[in-house]
Amino acid sequence: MSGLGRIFRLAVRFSWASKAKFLLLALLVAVGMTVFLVVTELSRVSAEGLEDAIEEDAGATGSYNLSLRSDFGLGPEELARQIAEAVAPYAARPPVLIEALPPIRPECPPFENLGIQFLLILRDGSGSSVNVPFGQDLPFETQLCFDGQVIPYDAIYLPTRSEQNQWGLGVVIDPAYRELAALSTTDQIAYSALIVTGRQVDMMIELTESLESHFREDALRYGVESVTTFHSRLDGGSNIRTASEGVGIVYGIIRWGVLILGGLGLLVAEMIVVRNRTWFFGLARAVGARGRHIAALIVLDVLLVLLAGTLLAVALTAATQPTADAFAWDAFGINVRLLHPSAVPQLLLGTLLVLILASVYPALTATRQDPLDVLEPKTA
Amino acid sequence: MTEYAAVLSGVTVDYPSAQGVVTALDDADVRFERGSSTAIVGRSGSGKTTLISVLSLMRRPTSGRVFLDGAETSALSNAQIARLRSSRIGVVFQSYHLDSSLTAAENVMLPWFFTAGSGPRRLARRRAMEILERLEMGDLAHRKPNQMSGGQQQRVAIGRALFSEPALFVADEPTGNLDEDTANNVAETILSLPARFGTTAVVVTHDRAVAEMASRRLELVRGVLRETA
Repeated sequence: MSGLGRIFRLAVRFSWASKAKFLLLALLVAVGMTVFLVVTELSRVSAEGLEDAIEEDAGATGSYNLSLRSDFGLGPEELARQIAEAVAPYAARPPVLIEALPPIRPECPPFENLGIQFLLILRDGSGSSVNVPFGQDLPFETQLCFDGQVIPYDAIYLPTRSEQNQWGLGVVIDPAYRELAALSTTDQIAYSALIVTGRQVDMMIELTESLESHFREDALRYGVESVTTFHSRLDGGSNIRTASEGVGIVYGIIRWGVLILGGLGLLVAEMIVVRNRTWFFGLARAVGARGRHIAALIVLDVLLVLLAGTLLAVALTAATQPTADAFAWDAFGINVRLLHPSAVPQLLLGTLLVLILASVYPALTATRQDPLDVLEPKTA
Repeated sequence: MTEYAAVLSGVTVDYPSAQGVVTALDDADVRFERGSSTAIVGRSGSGKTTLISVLSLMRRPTSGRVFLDGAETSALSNAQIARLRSSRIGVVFQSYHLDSSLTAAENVMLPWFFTAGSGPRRLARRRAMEILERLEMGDLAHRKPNQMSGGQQQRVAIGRALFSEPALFVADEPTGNLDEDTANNVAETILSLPARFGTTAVVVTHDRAVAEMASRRLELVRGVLRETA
């Protein structure tokens, strides 16, 4: 048996000798860890919910629209691929190439009363059509008619207001009808790129320069000086985002605060253990124990409580998961996973933090115990 | 092998105090023959515990040299001293210092928990049982300290000090907490260790009756050590 194995055996005996103390401390840890897990999940759910709501209303964080002077003769598919390549270092998700075909006036129901409309074609970084729900919520026989052309309902998508904020006003059509739509006009097609960096910091200059640099030769060949014409940042709601971050910080303070309080409770308990066992540490030194043996005994003592408490917390959380989920769904319309995989690293980090907080000082105090302390009380 | 288990040569221990430096042990020269039993007597404050702490390598002297098994110890590091203490010295205190959560046998094998390379647990346990049986405590091996009398607890503490087969067995007032009959019984046990375990026993006591049982007696008077009849 290794040295640590022997000390572990001794630590188990000591822990088990004070069952009531051990169980109460494990319960303290379990309560702290359970609160930690619940608040971690609340934080995650509220952050996701708020971010979704903000994105819905104000656009994804760090979203930009950069208008291009032309497709530079590359064609829309190749242009979309090249844009993706150019902004890859900054983009958090694949950019969208928006082709705005010259406006048409729909001539048949139900769109004939809409007035002039742009036709939009959206392509992802591979040049393929962006996956939008064509035909969604449209009557079966709906058609878009103009200049004797017809686009059926399952090639039409009416964007929501927040999507219009990003893509521009107009009706989205399937790229398969691009040529048909283009036949109705001789006006120039407008190209723009929707790029999302996912970062709050402004990156307009980096994005513009990357596009200018990437398409410089194409632009010169095409006879134009610059690649882009108009830039705008689309996302708003910075105040709401700041408030959302504030909520996240409050949750963080609560969950880490609970852990630190639990750790301080354990620290006090362990200091009492060290004081009560002063004679034992002195005796252990007298029979040959080294400082590291004593330190290991203290750390293992705390670790056993932490492990028991954490396991109890996991069991408690797993047992209450169905109730918590049902409550959250009824009250807020959300699903919660108290043992979400993203909480595991934080739980391990929290356990390590409490272990350090509760064991380092007692271990240092105990290792400073002089073997003479078991002799001198008599002579004092 | 040297004929002396331990030798103190010109050992002096000074303590700083409010009144200046106090000399607790003054130029002590003493040799402890292997297999002998020695009693050290003296009044309270005469320096007995200081002598024991130096002899058991728990305290380094202010000056002078301490030899254990012929090896000089003053140049050793704290780690080397700790190893020597665990392997060559057994100490018994006035208080039994038994852990209430461990059985008698586990208390005896306590040094095993802290000594690297001292073999598997079953061998340690077997050795603890053998020691307890030789101390006539075999039938109490599974009892915890609170289920034993004071004399029995002190014998368990003696067993713990013998666990690592020490060359030197040192006891500091081992009968101080015991009634007269039990004290005599424990003193007999300790002073018979040289014959039964081949170790060298040094006992500090203020009890003259206990001292009479030893083969050799030393007296400490205000830090000065001298041989008595």
